[in-house]
Amino acid sequence: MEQLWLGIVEIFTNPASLLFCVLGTMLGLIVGALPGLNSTITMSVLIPFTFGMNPSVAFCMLAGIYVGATTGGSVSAILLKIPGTGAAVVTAFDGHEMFKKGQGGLALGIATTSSVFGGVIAAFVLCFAAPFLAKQALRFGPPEYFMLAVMGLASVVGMEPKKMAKNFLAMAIGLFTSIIGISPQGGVSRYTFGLFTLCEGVSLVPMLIGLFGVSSIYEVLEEMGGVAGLTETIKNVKMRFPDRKMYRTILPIWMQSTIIGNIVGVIPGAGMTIAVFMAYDQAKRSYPKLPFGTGIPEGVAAPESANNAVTGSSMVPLLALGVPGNAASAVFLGALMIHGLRTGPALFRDNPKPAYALIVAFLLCSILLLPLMIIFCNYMASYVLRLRKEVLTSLVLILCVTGAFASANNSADIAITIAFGLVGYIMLKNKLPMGTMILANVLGKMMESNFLQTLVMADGDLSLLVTRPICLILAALTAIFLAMPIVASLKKSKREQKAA
Amino acid sequence: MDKNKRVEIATPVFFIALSIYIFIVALTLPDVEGVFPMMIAVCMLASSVVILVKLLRTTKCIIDLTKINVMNLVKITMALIIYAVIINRVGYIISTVLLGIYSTYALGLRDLKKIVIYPVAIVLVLFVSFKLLLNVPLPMAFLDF
Repeated sequence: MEQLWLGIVEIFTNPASLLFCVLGTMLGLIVGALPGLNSTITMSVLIPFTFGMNPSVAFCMLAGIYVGATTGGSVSAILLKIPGTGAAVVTAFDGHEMFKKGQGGLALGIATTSSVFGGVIAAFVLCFAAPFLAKQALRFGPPEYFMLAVMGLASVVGMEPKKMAKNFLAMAIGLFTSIIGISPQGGVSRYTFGLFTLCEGVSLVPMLIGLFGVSSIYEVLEEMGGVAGLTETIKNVKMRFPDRKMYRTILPIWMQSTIIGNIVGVIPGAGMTIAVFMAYDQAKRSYPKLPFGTGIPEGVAAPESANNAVTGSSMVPLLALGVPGNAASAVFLGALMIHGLRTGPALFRDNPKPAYALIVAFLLCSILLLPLMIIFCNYMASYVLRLRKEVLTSLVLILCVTGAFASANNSADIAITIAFGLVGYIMLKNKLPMGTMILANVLGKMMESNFLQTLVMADGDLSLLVTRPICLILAALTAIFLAMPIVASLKKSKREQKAA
Repeated sequence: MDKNKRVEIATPVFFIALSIYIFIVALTLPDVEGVFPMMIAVCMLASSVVILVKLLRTTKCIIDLTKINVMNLVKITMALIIYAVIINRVGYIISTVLLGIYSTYALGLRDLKKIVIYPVAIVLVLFVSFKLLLNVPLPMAFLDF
């Protein structure tokens, strides 16, 4: 608790921290509401912007963007049936139907309060789980870290049984990008293709900017006949909050969805989209008589509380173990690196102020969502959603190249950004998941060094990876994550055959 | 086999070739340096082969080249490469403004005033933020002060 107090003091005694919490959250709401932009792109592009900032201030801004964008996506999902972010896909099902019935303001109010609830609970989970897990991580040796990384990759690869081969390929691509450069063990140059620039490896920040920022620009530019602007005129919709009776009705949905969001968020590699679908499905199972999909408050409450629950909890494995919970938290890893902070137990021991400031920032930004969403929805949304796509895309491109250069003051990083922009675009066209690739890239170095240390420890006998207790648990979880979707898919095809 | 199918198949074929390259280079690496790359190569090869077989067994295509303006993509890539080459010679402000003007035009905006004003405004804001407020060095060339 004393350490948490450090974080509270760090934020509340520094006006810049408070200011950037507000600015970051508002920027996140704007970016989240705009289809085509999301928190990962924005954070990737703005990380170099945080260079000269105090780490705590930088984390306030990034936490605000992450939390804000997650909620902002619901605005365009409800008003236009175009989810601003992947996390708002499910919100569009009931949210837009409510808007068509003239209950758009109420849908926005439910989305806001659900997001605040989910986000605040997740911040408390982060506050208590991350330091606790970091202490347990002291029991982790090289075999445990290797198995943890394997489990993280297995969880994301196995999430969608129909796309396992594509997930495996994206994972292999990410692992390959992590081994480019001089090997940390033997100092041997690997896969640099004779380029001096690649000797240091592929820098994370320019790669993130290319994969998420530049590839999104390519997606806009590929449209034949020029960029189609948004032509719909959106009436100004005033937010309306639910009454007490409705709060009592949706509270169990909030609890249920927040638990799902927290569990999914903590699993390394699992994404927000999975959490929102699971929460919505569970809500349908818990309330089978309710007409989900026709415009009911419960249909908005479930996904919105789940997706904001993921924001804080996805930081737990990152801060405690150095394993990102999802692509957005992988971006935080880049921010931590830029500020010279190492994740894991050392973070809480050696740099408690910025670590706890980050945790408190998530809590504060989740609370700030309430007043800022009122301002955004009532006064800004209809203007933001009319922003010309040409100007917005051009802005993103300029931010991308500026950020890529500024990350290390090296024009070669712009080349890396362009190259990964093309890689990202090709991956998008072939439906190869970029989140898996980024996760594998981040985990790759850690995996290799821990694997080689394990080989040395065990004299080449790899049975160590399944005989040590924590390794055994992680190996069992890995097997479950990989086998469960295959078994479920086989059961489903048997049922379909019987029905036929 | 139509053009879209050939383009779709090119991706797994490329990764099969890449995995073979990774494996061959890994064999030449000393000691244990090649172990992890070999594991990656095997994973990449196996998944690419599975994807290739699935693609060859189906006639459906997820890529549709008729809906993609390839020329636009090539042009913006060339513009970015030129930008990377000239930024240190010409300076951040001039090179980024030129890139901004070109990209705004390529994206379809035709109002000449807006094509110039928006990029200039954005670049100036970023310049002030990065160079003056945050002390992040940006190449200035002959505009240095």
